Amino acid sequence: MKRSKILTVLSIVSLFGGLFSCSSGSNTEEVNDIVRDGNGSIVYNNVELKLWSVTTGEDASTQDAIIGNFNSLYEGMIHVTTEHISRYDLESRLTSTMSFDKKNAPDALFTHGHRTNEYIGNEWIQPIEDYYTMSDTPLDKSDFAPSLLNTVTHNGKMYSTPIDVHSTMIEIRTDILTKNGLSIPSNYNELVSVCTQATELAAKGNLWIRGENSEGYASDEWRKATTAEAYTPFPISYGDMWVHEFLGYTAAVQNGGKFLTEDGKGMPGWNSDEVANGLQVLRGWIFPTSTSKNKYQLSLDYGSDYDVGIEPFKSGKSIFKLNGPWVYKTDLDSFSTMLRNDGGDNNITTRSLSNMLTSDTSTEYASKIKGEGHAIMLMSTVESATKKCAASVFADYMAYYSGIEWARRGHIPAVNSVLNNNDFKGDADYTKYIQYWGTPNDYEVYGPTQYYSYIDTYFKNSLQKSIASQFKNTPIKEILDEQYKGCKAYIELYA
Amino acid sequence: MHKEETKNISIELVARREKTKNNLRKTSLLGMFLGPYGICFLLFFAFPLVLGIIMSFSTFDGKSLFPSGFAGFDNYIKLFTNEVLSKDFWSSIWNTIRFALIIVPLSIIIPLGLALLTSLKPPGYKFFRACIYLPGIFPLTATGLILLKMFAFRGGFINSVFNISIDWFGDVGACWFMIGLFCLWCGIGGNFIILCAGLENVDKSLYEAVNIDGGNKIHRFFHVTLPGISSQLFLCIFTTFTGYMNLYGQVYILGTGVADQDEMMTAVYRIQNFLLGSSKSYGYAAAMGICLGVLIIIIAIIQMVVSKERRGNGKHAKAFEKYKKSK
Amino acid sequence: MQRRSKNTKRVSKTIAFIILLIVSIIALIPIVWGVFGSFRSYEDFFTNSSSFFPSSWDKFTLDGYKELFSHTTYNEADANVYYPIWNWLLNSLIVSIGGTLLYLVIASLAAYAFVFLDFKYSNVIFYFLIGTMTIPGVISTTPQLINMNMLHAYKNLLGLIIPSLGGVYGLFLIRQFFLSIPKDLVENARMDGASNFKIFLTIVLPLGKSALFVQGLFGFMGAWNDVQWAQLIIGNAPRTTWTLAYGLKVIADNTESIESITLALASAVITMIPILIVYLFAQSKIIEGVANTGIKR
Repeated sequence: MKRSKILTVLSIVSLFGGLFSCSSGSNTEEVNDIVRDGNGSIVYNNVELKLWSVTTGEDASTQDAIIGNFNSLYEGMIHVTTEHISRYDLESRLTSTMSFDKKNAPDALFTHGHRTNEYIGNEWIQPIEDYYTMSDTPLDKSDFAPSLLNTVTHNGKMYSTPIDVHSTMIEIRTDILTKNGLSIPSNYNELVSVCTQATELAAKGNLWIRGENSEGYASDEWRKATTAEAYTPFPISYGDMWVHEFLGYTAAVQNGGKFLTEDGKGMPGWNSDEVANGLQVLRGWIFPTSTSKNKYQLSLDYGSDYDVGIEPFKSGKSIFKLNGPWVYKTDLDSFSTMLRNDGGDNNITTRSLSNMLTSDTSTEYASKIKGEGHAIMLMSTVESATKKCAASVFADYMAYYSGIEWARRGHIPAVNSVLNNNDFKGDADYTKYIQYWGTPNDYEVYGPTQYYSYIDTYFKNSLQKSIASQFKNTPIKEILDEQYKGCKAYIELYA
Repeated sequence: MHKEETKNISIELVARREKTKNNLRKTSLLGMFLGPYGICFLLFFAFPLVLGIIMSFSTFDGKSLFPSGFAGFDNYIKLFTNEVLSKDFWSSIWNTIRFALIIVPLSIIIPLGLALLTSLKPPGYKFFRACIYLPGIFPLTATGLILLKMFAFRGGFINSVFNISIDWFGDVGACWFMIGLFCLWCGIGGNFIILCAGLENVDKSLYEAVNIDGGNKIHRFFHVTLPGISSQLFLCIFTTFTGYMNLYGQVYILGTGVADQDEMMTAVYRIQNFLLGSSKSYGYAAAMGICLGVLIIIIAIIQMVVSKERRGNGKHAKAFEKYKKSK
Repeated sequence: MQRRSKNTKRVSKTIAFIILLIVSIIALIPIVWGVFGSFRSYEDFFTNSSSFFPSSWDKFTLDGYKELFSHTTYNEADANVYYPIWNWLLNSLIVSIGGTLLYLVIASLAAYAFVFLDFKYSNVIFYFLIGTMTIPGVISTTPQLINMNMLHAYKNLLGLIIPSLGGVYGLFLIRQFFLSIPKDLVENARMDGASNFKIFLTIVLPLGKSALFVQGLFGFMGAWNDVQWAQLIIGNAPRTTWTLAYGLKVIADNTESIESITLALASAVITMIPILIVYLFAQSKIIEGVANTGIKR
């Protein structure tokens, strides 16, 4: 008995010992293993780069193809192997890997650029800019969109390489608009007016629609919209990802709101009247009042439902829907099939959110869109200088040569020079739809902040409450103030 | 004199050796039966738990999973004094208790009623027993997914069939109702099967005795059936209660659509959220977990004392004797 | 008198039958709806939302299942949709069966010690063990992960098996059932000079079989259905080491659009099938076990 007691005590003690020995030794030393050839350029001899990428689904396949091109171009020199991890799992996998499995950590990350400052705080990444210099890779920072560059910068140094920017966009049923003598709106006031006309036409039984239905019509056959219920041309809901990731923020920005304070401390800055005005636009969208621009509901109250635009858009019960640009190609295909006898995919078009959420379009911020940008980061676990240089070569390739394939999936290149390239602008898909999503300069992403997770979560809470029926009578500023208080308190607690 | 002492000592030695031998045998016997489990318990249950307790007294720097310093009782004190932390934590505790007060009795009474019905052995009872337990065998993610799709707000099956418009997963009240339904649908199976097995084992001769004495069903239920399954009932009440005080999965699966998430936070859900972010919050999360544990222990002890008083030491058996005599 | 009691018996049996039938139907409706749903296209869900079954034979689709099983071989260009479902199935079986059997052995041994071996503080120790059940498991999640790493069980299936071996619930359950085994039986055997091990094997185990089946079922299901812990332990491991429940969760995460409802339901059904088979088998065994305990007090 006694001996077993001693044994257990011993084993526990030794386990504790193991525990604390694991926790020490975090900083890695750089190993200068660079070999240069006669011309002074670095010799890459089968450098293996392990990449974790946050892309999933078809994005992932497209990205794999792009990386495949890189690998064949650098055959025998640099080879990138990619693992795709969904954004729900990435953080926890990074945490556990960087805590006690560093030998299996990736060398580079392809994830959202606005995480950069959080990751610097965690000591997970090192500045990639240094290795541009070492590997003689040209870096023209002025080529990057300012907002995208700003979020990956810390103490004046570019920590990760911005690759692209993306947001949600609007899809439009041009066939319904044309048939009813309506035109494509280019700003919020026009949008409201088009919607009002459509709703009024429908109420009189005069609105022509078509699409998939269970009433016995063929999908390309024109029919009159029902008068039994009000016609709602633009469905949104607080449960919809497009709404809480992008639409709420965009409404805030276009009305002059800011995500962060302007003192550069990275604190939340969204508890302002401007942001409240922006969210008021969205509340009025679903619950119109005498002060809202729209007389009629633009959208039913879909509550917690998500992807609410898909079904009404296909059936003709709505004219507009929000969607991720990366699935626009899929929608084009499905309309090619559905309306193949009458114009196919020419029956829909797309526009960005520019000017779509504010009634005052004269301001400089009215055209801004809240975006999220991907960026390539260099993990702090990489020791070999050659490998780090290889990572910067790879990042540079991805920023400049992801090309039209990546843009077709809604990822606008972060560098302006790519957009101005003729190969890019001359592409048929560019003229067909990519051009409507604007340039990287139109996009506003989160500035650098260590507290991104908190600030983002609490803003989303405010947005959801603002357009949920449960709180439709609570003043929006009150909701924002309450959430702001909680958000700030937590940031201070951990500071 | 020396001899005498040696003799004494040797006698003592023999006795002691005998005793040690006995002890040794007993110890090795215990070691054989209890040892494997004991080691596993210490290694895989006690040890992480101790680490967790240590965590609740530590600070974290957000860089790794390991503690960066000693915090003393700081984490605990903040749970009571920090405005936002105390508000968030205690409101989530209150949400948990409120829900447990409703769901625990239901999770005992409904399966007990069904088990009693099953024990009557109506035709097809084996099939029914299998059906009632069935939903509980599947992963919550799968059954929850089905509920989410079935009760969707616009265009969901239930709302379409009954032509109603309730946002089952958006409205706070409706969502708690759905969570309750989910808990009953997938959660009563375990209790049901345990109680069924318990009822099978109740001594049939006791029933006959009551029947002969002409006792009615209510008497029979309270004086024979309930005491007969008391150990299973105790197991069910205890595990159901601790289970629902730790409610998380069901709320996580069904409750994320509610706009006001504070209303949906149970204690463990709150703690999980703290564990998801940077490790800076781990110390508070661990302290919250310990507080919740202490609270559960207190309630469980009260519950045990009460039920012990009620069960008494063979009180029911005595009562039955008395009842029999009075006939 | 006799006849009346027979009549009341018949009436109560009928009532019991009706109630049980209704409850069973309610319990099964969502499952059946889900299974049929996995054969329905997204369009059919929306255009015929009030129909329980696919609205017509043309609306039947196997797309969800085809999609699930079309990625079972590794292809470097398509590595992110590599879903080796058969490996996952095997891993799930290893984890669930291996873990459950190991636990049954050690827990029933321990339960025997608590019930039939008189030792000092046995009750105190047991109540202490029960007391630990009240402590929220969430406290030890992170420490357990660190623990598994130290025992070299991180990123392999061992890390999914061994943490469950320290569980208290099963011990508690088995003990509660062992308690109803008459002590005289054991005492008599002891008088006859049988060793504890023999008593355990020949008397206690056969009589407590039903408890082992019940716990076996619970343990198997718990291990089979686990996603949260699996994500922490094997999420970083190669895909061939994943379990079915976790793998299907990843598939669901990759296809979050509402249009993939068919695929989502299909993956739910696929996770359900193996456990359903085990359940149908175990269910009959439990009944048998309960019936065979033959306890006479």
